[in-house]
Amino acid sequence: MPEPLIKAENIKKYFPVKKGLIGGTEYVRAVDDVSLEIGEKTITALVGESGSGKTTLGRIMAGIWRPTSGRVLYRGIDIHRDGMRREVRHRIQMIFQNPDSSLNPRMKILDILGEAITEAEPGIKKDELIERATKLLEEVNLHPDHLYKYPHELSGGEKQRVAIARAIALEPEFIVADEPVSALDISIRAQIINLLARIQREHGIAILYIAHDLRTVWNISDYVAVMYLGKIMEYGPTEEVFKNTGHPYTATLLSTAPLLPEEFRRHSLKPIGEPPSLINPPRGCRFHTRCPLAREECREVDMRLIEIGREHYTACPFWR
Amino acid sequence: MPLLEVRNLKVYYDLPQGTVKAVDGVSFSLEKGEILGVAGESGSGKSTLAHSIIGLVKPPGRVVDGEIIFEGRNLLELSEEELREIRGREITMVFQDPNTYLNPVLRIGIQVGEVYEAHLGIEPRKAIDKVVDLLRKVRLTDPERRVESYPHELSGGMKQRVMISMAIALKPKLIILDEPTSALDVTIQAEIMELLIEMRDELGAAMIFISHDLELLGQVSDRLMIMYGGRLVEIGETEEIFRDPLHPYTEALINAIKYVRKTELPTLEGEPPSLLKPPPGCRFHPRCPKRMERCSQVEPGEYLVGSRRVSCLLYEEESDA
Amino acid sequence: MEQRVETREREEERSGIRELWSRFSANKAAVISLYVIIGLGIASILADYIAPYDPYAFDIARRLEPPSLQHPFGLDHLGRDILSRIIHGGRYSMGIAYASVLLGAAIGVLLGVVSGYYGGWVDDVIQRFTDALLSLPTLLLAIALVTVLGLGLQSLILSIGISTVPVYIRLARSLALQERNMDYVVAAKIMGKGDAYIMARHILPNIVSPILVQSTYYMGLTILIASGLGFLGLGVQPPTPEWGSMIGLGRNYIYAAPHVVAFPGIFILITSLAFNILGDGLRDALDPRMAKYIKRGV
Repeated sequence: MPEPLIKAENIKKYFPVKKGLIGGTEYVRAVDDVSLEIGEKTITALVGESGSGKTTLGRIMAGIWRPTSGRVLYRGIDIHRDGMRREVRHRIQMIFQNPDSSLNPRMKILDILGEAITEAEPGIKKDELIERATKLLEEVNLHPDHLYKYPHELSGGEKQRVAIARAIALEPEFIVADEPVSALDISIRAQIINLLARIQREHGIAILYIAHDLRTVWNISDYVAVMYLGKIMEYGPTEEVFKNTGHPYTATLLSTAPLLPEEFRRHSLKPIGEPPSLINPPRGCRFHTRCPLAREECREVDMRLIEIGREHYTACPFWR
Repeated sequence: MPLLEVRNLKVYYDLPQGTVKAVDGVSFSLEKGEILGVAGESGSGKSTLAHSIIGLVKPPGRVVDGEIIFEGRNLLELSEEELREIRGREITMVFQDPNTYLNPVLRIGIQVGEVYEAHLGIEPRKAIDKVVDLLRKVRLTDPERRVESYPHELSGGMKQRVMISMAIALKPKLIILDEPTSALDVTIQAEIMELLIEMRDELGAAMIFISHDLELLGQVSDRLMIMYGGRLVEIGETEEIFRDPLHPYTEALINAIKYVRKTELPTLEGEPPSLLKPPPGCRFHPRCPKRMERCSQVEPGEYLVGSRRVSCLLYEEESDA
Repeated sequence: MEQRVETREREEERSGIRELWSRFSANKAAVISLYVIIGLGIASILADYIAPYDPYAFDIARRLEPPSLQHPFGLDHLGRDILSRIIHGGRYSMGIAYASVLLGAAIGVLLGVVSGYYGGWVDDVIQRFTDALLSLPTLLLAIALVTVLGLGLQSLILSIGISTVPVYIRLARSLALQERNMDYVVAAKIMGKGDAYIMARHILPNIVSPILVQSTYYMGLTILIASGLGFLGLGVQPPTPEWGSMIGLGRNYIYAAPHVVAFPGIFILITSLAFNILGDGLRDALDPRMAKYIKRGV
């Protein structure tokens, strides 16, 4: 792996929930002791179902939320300590799932992009600003006419292109993309994924791509981290994880993708029942209550990641 | 005689900005025990189609033309009362979001029991044994305890199981499923799909399964219908369509769900059409990679190619019909 | 809802002024109300030119004369022309309402946005203050404030304005609470924008519509409050014509000469009603879903 650009160390994020009228406070353990490194200019996919903690981890790594404990280092600088420094702030950007809520409906596209441009270059002249904004739109294949439109005059795909243009306006080195195509129609998804891949290549940006859609993960990611109930179950280079799957949970996910080429689909594992609560997650392996291959020892096992190949780690000591 | 036959159905919405032709002349039929997948992007008209079969189109929407023949009777000519007899008993529906349909302040047992009350006149409390059996059938864990639960105590997957139990309670002949698993996680989704196929085998009920997820439809449906801009694009055996899509739009959709690594994903340029001002000629022509001059001038008819029906001028000549 | 109209949102949500007007004008009552309000406004502004008589000129000999062709609304207890006094009085009745709503909205929205955006102790302090103000009905609060601040136009506007503040705080706070979680606010924070910038640029513009609707309803209410205070003798002082004080002064003659109170009363009613109907129309045209946040004036 290239030198890590951003490093999450032992991140925990607990959200308090009130328990009844008198009872004390309980905690939802959204992210529970997770470490993740992302190398320069690589795309790491963070895969998991709802309640896995992937969005929470993403927001912490983007510096939006503070972790309950642990730290995030960007080139060795703790991004959550003493507020975020301006130069770090601009190097980390985010793309959201729903372009309807990520673009202010009362602002024209020019003003939306202008916000980012003036942040990078305060006091920029109006005509230069328009020029920069036009260039940004060109980069995401949108016609300059769109500058004077409002978000509601754009389609979902076009809005997401604007969101991408805004994210790259500050020339970031790291972008957290939180399910950027889940809200889009299938025929539009591919356009946006291709655009992200090109932008990533041309600008040399590292991306944390949060998704549950294995097709796009397979297409663009270099590395995959699979999360379940606040823990990382498996991590490794994408092809390794898809071909030499190291965890039963990953295998159950891959089993739901019938069109995956035969060479990857050596498993047809189905998880059992419903995911347990995050308030009292199962002891031992978090997945053992739903794991089709669970055995007695899984109730006690320590969820430490074990190296099973080059850069390939799993939390399951028994499988394979 | 097919179980259901829809002929030249047109459903329009009258909006201040103009008339939206959500479903514009769609015909298809469905045999007993068959699962028909209906695929399309948002704005294709697939949801409106489903709602019109069960008589749920309300103003500003209206059925402009066509026939919906269910077991020999045209549903569009029935009175609201006659329709209510059929709806909920012979034809049932499962919606995308169970939260909108489950009453948050009623226990599950009562709500499911209401189905028996409405159609068989059994008091919900007396139907409780039936309800437990039903919940066991949809493999809800611990059904004796679950009848006492409120909807918020159940996960999304469990709620959808409850919805399915209500849909199958009276052994309907046709179940319409409108994106029943789109809000669920993939592993839960897989379980629900398995359950649905099992129910079909057990009850022999036909299903119309609406989804934007072609990969999913490929797993469950016997036949597949693709819609675009309120029109039928292609209909035929699911396997055949996956093996050899005829319509360029179908082909693009099939390509879009293939797994390719680190190369550009095949794309379809442009955006779905506006239903207020649909493009002239073939509605797909502005995005079509195989468009010909005539495509913007002539509305394609529906042509039979083998056992498939396709609406594309490329097949005008080949047509057997 | 079982039904979803599958058009592209592009068409559905295009809400330029023209579209807004087409939705608004579908509600005939609201359109009539708008014309009534505009008409009353113009009449007040041009009162000096429109009013047939001097509102202060009296003729004791003809006091309490009933309506006639010469004086369509009749004469009051000092023999002044009631029509002219109503036209001039509109300046005060409506002027006070506009000024106090503007003042109340400005203070209330500012505090509400700050409260909702920051949360925490700032929110607690502002909310306790709001609770205290809300413990009295608006009219009582206004009366209490007038007695503290003393008589006079300025203190009247101030009192009525402050009495509407708590409702604006509540409204703006709940709207700001939603806005602050919107992704564009998060995006602006990630960019490094400051709180004041975010509140001014992202939150305020997005909560303007409900505030506008609320203010329209409150115009109806403040006209009633101003009249109520005038009636009680706490409002605009005689001989200045103001609708409420006209009723207050005329109430002794209500049996002998009902027209003295009836005409100002009708104008209060019409104006207040018009603002409320206009509020409904605006709300439905802008976004019917906002109904749950807004407190009707009357």
